Amino acid sequence: MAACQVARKQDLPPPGGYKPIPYKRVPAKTFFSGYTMFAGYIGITAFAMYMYAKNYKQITKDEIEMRSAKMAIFPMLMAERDRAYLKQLRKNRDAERELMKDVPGWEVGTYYGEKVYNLLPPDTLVEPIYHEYYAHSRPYEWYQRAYLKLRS
Amino acid sequence: MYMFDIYLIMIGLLILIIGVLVGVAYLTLLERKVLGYIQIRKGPNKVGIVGILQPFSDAIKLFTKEQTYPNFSNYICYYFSPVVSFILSLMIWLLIPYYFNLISFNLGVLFFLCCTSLGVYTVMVAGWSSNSNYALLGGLRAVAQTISYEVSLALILMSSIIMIMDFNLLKFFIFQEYLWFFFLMFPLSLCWMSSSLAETNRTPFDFAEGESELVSGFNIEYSSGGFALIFLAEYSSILFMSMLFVLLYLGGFNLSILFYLKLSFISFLFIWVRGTLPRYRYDKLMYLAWKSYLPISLNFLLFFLGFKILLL
Repeated sequence: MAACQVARKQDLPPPGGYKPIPYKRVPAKTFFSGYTMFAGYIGITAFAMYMYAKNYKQITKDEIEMRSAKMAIFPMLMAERDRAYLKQLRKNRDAERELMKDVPGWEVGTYYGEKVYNLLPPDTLVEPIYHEYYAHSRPYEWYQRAYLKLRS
Repeated sequence: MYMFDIYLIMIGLLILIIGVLVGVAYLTLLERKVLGYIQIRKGPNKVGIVGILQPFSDAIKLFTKEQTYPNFSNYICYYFSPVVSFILSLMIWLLIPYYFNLISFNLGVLFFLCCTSLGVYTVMVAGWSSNSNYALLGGLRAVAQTISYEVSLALILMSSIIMIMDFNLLKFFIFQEYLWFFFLMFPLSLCWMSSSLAETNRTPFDFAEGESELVSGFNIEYSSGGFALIFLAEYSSILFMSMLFVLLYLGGFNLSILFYLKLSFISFLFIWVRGTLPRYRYDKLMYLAWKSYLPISLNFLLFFLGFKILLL
């Protein structure tokens, strides 16, 4: 019986035996001790609090500046608004005069020469109602304004 | 508000929605790529140039499949809860600080809390209405986890709100111009990060759908379109949470591309965590919320309240 010619290599441990199994626990590397971490945390937080305080001061300053600027400009805005209002009243008057020039006996600001408000002294500014104010403007502007007025 | 403004808002919303959806699509691609390289293999790299079109291919596949539904499910609830959750997660994006003030929220933080709280209901209803034990249990797990972490999330948020004394998310920028809140409230920001991981059911805390040990969670009965919607909602909430982290702790919305880079980095962090950390234990997760984060956030709240009063 012919024996197997191929030299068999038995699966054996390497000469000298296996290396010892490393079963010892390898803890994660610690970079900082607890005290260092606490100190670092306190340091960073203190610095951040200082920066926050500075930032907060700056924000307060900005708010005050914005408020003062608004207060400073408010009278001018009011004056501009009044001026625009009066201009529009004049325009309304002129438009009405132009529109009613062919109607005999029509006097602007009155009803055929008859005063509308009897008890008011002459030259009193009677503020027109909303629709009267926009009576002679373009419908689109009137519509836009109405939309804003109703929605705001 | 004229019609023109309304058109502008509609266009803005459309751009926002498209941006969010494309962002979500590429977040999924990024996740698969990053996980692939973490596990020393390539991610999807066949569709399109180097896998660029993979998310769209997936979406087309998902939406063209037949949607099955369990015979004994509560059909209306079953059908609509993914839809509602998707709509909620898109609605929450209204809060994004837009370049030209799409909608300027003065109470943005409250809106965020409302939307995330409502999102829990959709998970619960999805789990319950499937009428399957696995879905029900998965839904219960997810709900318990999410509402627990919502508490700590809200309390951590309180400290930041105290620091800016406003609910407007845009305000976070002007208070962080000198130094990020990340340094001011470092431990809290880490708490926030892990709470938002738990809130979005992400990996170290993904007990809603632990694929290997637990049967997939509340969404087990969902297929095709419904599943895609749940998936989209989850990923868009991940993106939103990372945006919120940037807003709260990394300097806020500073009108520069840096904001979006930070956002991408944080959402990369979510993926990195998934590729690195093993899953937590459920009871430990609950104890973490109620025994660690709750006291920590309350103590920090007191601390920052005192600091703010000191400054006034």
